[in-house]
Amino acid sequence: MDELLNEFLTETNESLGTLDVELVRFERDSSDVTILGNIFRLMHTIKGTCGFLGLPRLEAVAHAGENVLGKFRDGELPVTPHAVTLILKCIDHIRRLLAELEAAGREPDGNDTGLISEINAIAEARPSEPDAAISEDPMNAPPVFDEAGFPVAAELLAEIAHSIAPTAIEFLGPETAVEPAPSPVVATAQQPEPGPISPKPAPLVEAKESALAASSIRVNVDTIENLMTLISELVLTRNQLLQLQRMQKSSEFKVPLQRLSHITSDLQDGVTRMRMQPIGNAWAKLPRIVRDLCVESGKKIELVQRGADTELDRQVLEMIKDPLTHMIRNSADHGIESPADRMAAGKSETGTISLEAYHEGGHIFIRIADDGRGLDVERIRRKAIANGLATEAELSVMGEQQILQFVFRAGFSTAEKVTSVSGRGVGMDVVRTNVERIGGAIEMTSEAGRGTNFLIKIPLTLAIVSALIVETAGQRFAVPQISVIELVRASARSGARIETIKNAPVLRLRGQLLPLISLRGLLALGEDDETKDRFILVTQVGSFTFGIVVDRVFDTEEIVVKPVAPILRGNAFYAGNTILGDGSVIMILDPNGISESAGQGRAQAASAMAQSAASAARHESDQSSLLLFQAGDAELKAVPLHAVARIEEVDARTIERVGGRYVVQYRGHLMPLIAIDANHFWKSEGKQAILVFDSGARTLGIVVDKVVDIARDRVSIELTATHEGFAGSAIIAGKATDIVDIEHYISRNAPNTFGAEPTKGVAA
Amino acid sequence: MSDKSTCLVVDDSSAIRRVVASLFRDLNFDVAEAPTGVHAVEHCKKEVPDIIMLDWNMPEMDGISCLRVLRAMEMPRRPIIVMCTTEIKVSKIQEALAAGADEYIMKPFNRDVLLDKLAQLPLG
Amino acid sequence: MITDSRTTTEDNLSAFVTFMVADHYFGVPVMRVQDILTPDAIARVPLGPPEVRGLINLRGRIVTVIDVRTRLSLPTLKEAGGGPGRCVTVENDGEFYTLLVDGVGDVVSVIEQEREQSPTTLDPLWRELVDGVFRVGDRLLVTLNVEQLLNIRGNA
Repeated sequence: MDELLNEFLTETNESLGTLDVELVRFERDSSDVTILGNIFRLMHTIKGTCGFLGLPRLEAVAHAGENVLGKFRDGELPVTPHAVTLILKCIDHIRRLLAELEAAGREPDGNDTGLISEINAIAEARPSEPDAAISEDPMNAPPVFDEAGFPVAAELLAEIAHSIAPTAIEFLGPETAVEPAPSPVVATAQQPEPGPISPKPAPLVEAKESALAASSIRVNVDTIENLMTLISELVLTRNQLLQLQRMQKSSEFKVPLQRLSHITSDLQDGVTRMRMQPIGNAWAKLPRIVRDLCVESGKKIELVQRGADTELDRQVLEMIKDPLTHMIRNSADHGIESPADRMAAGKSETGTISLEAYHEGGHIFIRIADDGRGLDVERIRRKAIANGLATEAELSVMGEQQILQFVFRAGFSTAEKVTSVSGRGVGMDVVRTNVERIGGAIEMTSEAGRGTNFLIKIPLTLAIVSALIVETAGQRFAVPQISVIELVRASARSGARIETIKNAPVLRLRGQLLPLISLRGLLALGEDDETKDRFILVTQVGSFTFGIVVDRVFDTEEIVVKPVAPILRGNAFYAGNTILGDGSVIMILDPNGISESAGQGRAQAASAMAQSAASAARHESDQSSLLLFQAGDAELKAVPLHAVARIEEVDARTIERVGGRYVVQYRGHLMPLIAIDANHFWKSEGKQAILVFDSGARTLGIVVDKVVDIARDRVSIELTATHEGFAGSAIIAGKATDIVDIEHYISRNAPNTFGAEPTKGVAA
Repeated sequence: MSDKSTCLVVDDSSAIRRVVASLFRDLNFDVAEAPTGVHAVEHCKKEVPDIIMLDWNMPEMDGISCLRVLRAMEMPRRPIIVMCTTEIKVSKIQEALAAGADEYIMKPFNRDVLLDKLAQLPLG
Repeated sequence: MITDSRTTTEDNLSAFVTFMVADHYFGVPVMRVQDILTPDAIARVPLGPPEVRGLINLRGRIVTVIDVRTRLSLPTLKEAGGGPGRCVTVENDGEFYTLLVDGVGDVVSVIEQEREQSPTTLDPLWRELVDGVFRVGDRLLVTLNVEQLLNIRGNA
């Protein structure tokens, strides 16, 4: 996709996020003209950009939204919750259109007359002066089109010039804009192309506070990652140089090298700091969530944020986002009382939830407090007894705050009401586990009638490293990415081959002989089948290059390096250990320690350990198991269970029609949906069950009405392909069942126009 | 048939099955084991347990898919299903609850945690 | 802290979490015990000391599993045909360890004054690990010193 579109998508998505926040702020204080001005400009710019890039559908929707905002601004329309909700709806819709645009490379077909007329209806609701809609205000005028149908850039630029915060972005005045001049100096990592297209609209950097806009830029995440890799290599090279230089008695290299060394260290620090992000990023969606909750429940809640610029590591941020959101939801749902209850309790009608973050003593503290009803100690006490967690006697000697800590226990769910089947909610035990997983801790205090207070403490320093996950003899290990120069597959059949020279295994790589160390042998993990394929990690330590032989290579992962326990420190091969995303603990190998043994020519250990077989009970059942379902009619259909990747259920409202096909956003990409029966009626509401099939890079979903059963009996399949799409039929439990031919549907959907997921890592 | 409560432990690891089964036997349950989702479904066709401890990460059929099948099947009565998960993401756990799980329990868990969770459920 | 035990410590009373290893009845001070759990997915550490059974993930913390049988030069549970065992998690000097034992018993309170000296018949290997011996019912409770227990191969 071209860069222009890419940037547009990034910037506009950001603007939409800001719009969310600002709109909610504005709703609470509709006299604040500054906020309104910001909001209007944001929507206006989106509209303008869409027009400029030839995206009429998006432009129309944005225009409708902008119209209403204009009326707010001119005082012609009262700021009602309904109106604001509609604008939020408009924003959500634009987001959806952007997603489809991103996936397909162009705007989706169709129109949004429904939504637009709904929005326009609001705009017309106060019929003061019908003409006022089209005011003389230049800002409100629709873009001027030239003969070719493109908005005239100069006009557009004039509009944009008005709307952008006049600080960070250097800007060429409207006069110079029309030529194919170099675009305005925009603060992005990419150089804007000079080209026939007139200057792109400048990206909205920090629309929130113009002061901030002056001191920050937006940089692509990949760029940072690349930079970090380069810096790591630089550090390595620096280390090599230092080592070489140390071996010289005196050298004219010494002083410059020291300087180089300092600079490298500073560079490293600087780049590491780039990974830090303000916690405000995790808080961005909260105002909207709280606002929506208020509208639903009729409560009045104010969300106060302090210390949003407190920075923490990107990874840590990712991991606390969910728990924080969950806790805010809890406060809003269960903590803050209804306005009536609050008044009755002598409190102000509007409840407050406050979020505060700050650094202190090498940690980050996050405080979440509300002034709601607080926790009911009595109820917790009773529940603790009922659950058998403590006796009356024990509880009687516990302080109130101590008793309250029971809510962190597994059996306590914050939802006191266990309504129906799915009434149970996620409890504080999950939050605590999430916090502890990043090495943090969480505390809670509460006072009945006054409110509840949570304090999360997270360590600031996390040593995070990129590592390659490999496997040998069924065990996984992590190898720091920076040491690995190259990955080579050694196969008996083709490609690189492992040779033996004087009993030592080597690899011939581009004319060089690389000494090899088998990880299996090094760690005495037992013998194995020599004929299988192997992978070789070409590793460099100092000036020594060698290869580490492993069975399989998985992904590269960002891991947190935890030092080994003192008891394990004697082992030179381990640089630490870590917990992977799936919860498993693995050792981190130290190429340095390993290279030592290569140097000593340590041969493969000969300990013959019994090979314990791998796992248990996967056997015949899967090959002949069929998943039975209904689709279109009551006739049972079947599909081989092992072909089904997952059974999913989605909200039918998220199913979109794109280019004549039905798709749904699934795990980060658009998955095509197929209906087996020709006359399938596509639901637009409620839940839709889907069978997900993975075929390499493509996924496909088959919509079904109902999953019925799994048949495990060995079935005899009559392979009479009676009609297309079916592999045959079988008698299952006495009933004739059509067996669906999945391959047929998968191949029909190729080439995948929706963009395959990039394949990661190297599969064994 | 005794009137003990019954439990079905579904997990691809035999070691885990043994551990969880023993925890339940200590609590005076009759325990059956199933190594895969398919086996679990088969078991439920013959006999519906009072409670099913369902592992999240299993090969061929993952926990949530199995959960959906179990809830979709016709059964004389509705078993309690507890998802046993190494997953700690709030959204994922909510997904499981929405798909029909009655409770979740994070692995690794001990007897106390299990008791805490079970205390919530309408078991005999 | 353990959740289902009484942790009252009066003047001369000491409370211990008790556990079985082979036929022996041991205990460690209740205040040292963080958690009791059933071992799940122990990640092996190849070439680690034999007493280290491996590592586990305890709610985001990497905890070293110490096989108490091996530490006491007894055959392992597996060799003895036993079950998975139980783990008693303790903290020492900022690190977390979990002691793999056969099974965990109740928390027992004993009177300090009744502490007996280690019998001379005690295996000299164990002598460094033993804090004291108490008579509980008809059994002998041997209380262990956590630091010494974790002092493996000169690891302090």
